[in-house]
Order: sequence, then structure tokens, then C-alpha cells
Amino acid sequence: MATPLVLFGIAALVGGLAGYPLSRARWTRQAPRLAVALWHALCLGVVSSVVLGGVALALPALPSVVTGGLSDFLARCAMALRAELAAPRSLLLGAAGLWLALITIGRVVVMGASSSRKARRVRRGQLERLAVAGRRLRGDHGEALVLLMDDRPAAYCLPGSRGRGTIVISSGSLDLLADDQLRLVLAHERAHLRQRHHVAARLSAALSGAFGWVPLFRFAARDVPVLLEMAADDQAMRTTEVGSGRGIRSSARRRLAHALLTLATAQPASPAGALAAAGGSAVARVRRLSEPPLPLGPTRVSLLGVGILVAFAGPLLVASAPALCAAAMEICPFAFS
Amino acid sequence: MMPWGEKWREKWMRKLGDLEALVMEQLWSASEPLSVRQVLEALPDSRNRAYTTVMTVMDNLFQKGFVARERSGRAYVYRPSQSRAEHTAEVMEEALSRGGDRGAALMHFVDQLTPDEAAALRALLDQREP
Repeated sequence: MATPLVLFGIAALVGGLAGYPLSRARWTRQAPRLAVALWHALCLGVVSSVVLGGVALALPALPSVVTGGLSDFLARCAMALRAELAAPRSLLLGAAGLWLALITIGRVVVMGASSSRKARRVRRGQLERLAVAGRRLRGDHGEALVLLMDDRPAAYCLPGSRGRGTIVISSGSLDLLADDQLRLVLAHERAHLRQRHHVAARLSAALSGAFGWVPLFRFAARDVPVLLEMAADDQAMRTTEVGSGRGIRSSARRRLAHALLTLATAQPASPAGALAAAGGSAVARVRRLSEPPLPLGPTRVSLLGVGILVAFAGPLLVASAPALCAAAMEICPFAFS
Repeated sequence: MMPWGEKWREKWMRKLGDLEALVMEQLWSASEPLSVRQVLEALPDSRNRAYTTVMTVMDNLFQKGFVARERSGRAYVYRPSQSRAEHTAEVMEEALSRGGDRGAALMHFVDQLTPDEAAALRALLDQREP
């Protein structure tokens, strides 16, 4: 009985509390990609805790048909396992556990599928019109680049499969940006496409859409998109040819910050909702770019790596602990063979 | 499908997409509805193009609602249902309205700032100017 309780306890603690310190942590903007990985590891850890907890509840209550057909050795092994799990053979509890596991997975999958279906529809509609109304330019790096003749500044990407996609830029943006800034903007969008940021953004959005009452998921859905923008900024500065040396790198930061401000203020007013939803990201990014870069030290990076691993694999370890113990017993034929 | 098949298909789709753009150019610049033959003759390098290819492309455009068509004798004549500027405006408006789209259908370089926020950030950047 201990295993499901421990797993549900982990889910409640992490899901309820972990979001608060992480959303306030300052190091996240120094290592945005690691921070995204940690958010996702925590979120998926909560989901897998609940699912595995449900399965652990259901396991002892499974009808003996499942175990009956096994060989003598395996049956003994299963008995040892059952003794470890030591749950009451309540069919009701087992059914509830199974239901919990299925409903959790089901809601996340349904949410993710519907949002990616919607995204596909938007993308398709955009690409069809872009094909006739836009002018295809030759991108430097193989991705499709489309110019729209419109005075309103816009620069965005339409993520495609396999890390490819289309970058769209309006003539209004070209008018406002200097050449080096344009290169940075395109590199930023290219980073979104190459690093498949839409997958990360959709994952956190799907989780908060499915279980918005879990604080961790809400925080993740709010913070992950901002961190992804910062990661794309970093990649843009890393990959854009601006020469070499410290001074030039810092001037790339300034050029990018000014490009952000120029495009963010030149956009025509749009519904207040869109502004409220997105305003924070531009402010945080410009603030970050105005400061000198502060990469995390190797100690903190390795600590974070361990944390990500624990958050992700911890629930699985807890869930399989009884099985591991049973396997370590000598009666199990496949323990060390 | 085999990898080369996939690649070939992609190339072909791109070609058709390019041809769509060329066909729309012709229809937009014409003063009256055009038949497939007229479009074919107006296209650059028209001698190397198959009539059926152009017909397929124009049928696709009709299916997407980008052109309207009516019978004229035995063939259809086509005219654009929206101007290029209208298409552009539609793409732009959809893109701009999806500023805070969490489903990440499209990802913007930057979202909007209020004038106050922008002023504060500009001041911050100027203050840190070396």
C-alpha cells in the first residue's frame, strides 16, 4: 500500500509547491534551456507519479487470470511482488486506480492532440495564402523564408515537422530594422524552428489546459514560453556572424534589444487580451539583454542536471522499487541472468 | 513511402506552389476572367508547360476558394476572388491576433509593449550605454 501513497504524495507536493520557488528563481534566465528542461521534468514527473500510483493501486487487484497463466517461477515472483505491494485486494480501489491512470493520460493526450490539430489548421491556412500572396526569398540556411508586402511590422515562424518550417517577415519589419538586426531576428526564428520550441510550448500548454488547477502546470505554462524566447535570443546571438570577441558579443545583445523594442512598439494596437498575455516576455527579454551575460557555473549546471534526472525518473524508481526488491530476491530467475 | 519519394513529392509540391503564385499573378494583372489556355499562354516559358498541369493548379486554387470560375462556352474562365493585398491582410491579421497563442501555432519574434514599458526599457538601455 505504501507505493501508491508515496507516489500520490510526490505528485501533491511537487504539483502543489514546486512551481512557486522555480517561477521566482533568478538563475532561470541565465540558463533558459535548462530551466525549460526542469519545468518539463517536474511536470512530467507529476503526471507519471499519478499514473504510476494509479497502476500500483490497480496491480494487486488484477484478477488472478493475469498471473495464473504464468510459469511457476514467474508466479512465485509475482507473489513476492504482491507481498511487497501488500495492498488490500479491493476491487474498488483497483478500479479507481486504473481509472485515475487512464483519465490522466487521456486528458493530456486529448488536449495535446486538439491543440496540435488546431495549430496544423492555422499553419495550413497561412501557408496556402502565403504561397500566392507572399514572395519566397532564398533563406541562407535552407528554411523557407517568405516576405509579405505589408507596412505593419511582423516577424514570426510557422513550425513544421522535422525541425523545418517557414519564417515570415513583413516589408514593414524590413523598413524598421538594420541589416545586422534583421539577421538576428531571422536567427531567433530559426532557433525556434531548429530547437522545436513549439513542442515544448505545446506540452506545457496541454498540461495546464488539462489540469489548470495544478499550480505547477499553471506556472509552467506561463514561464516556459518566456524562457523559450530567451533561449532563441541566446541562440541568435551565438549563431549570427558579428565577428568575434567580447565587445562584439555585447554589441549583439544591444542590437537585439533595440530590434525587440523597435518591433514591439511599432506594432499597431491589437486586442487587450493579446497584449496582456504576452507583454511580460518582451520586458523580461530586453531587461535580460541589457545586462552582461552570466552563464551558470559548472557546479550549478551539474546540480541542475541531477535535479532534472531525479524529477523525471524519481517516480518511476519509486514505482518499481517493490519490483526491484523482488527481483533482488533469489527466487526470481531473471534477476541477474 | 521511400525517402526519395518523400523528397520528390516535396519538390513537386513546391513546384506546384510556385506555379500557383505565377497563375495568381496572371489573374490579378488581367482585366477580365481568363481561361486555362489564356493563363498558360501568358505564363513565362509557356511552351514547356503542360496544359493539364496548369488546369490542375487552377482547379486547386478554385478548391481553396482563391479564384471564382464560370463557364464560358466549353471551358471555365477564372478570376481571383480576393486581391493580393486582401490575402496579405488576412495572413497578417491572423498572425497579429495570435500574439499570446499558447498552442504555438506560430511563434512571433516579439509581442507588443505598452508605450510606458517601452519608454522605461529604452531608458534602461541608454543608461547602460558604454
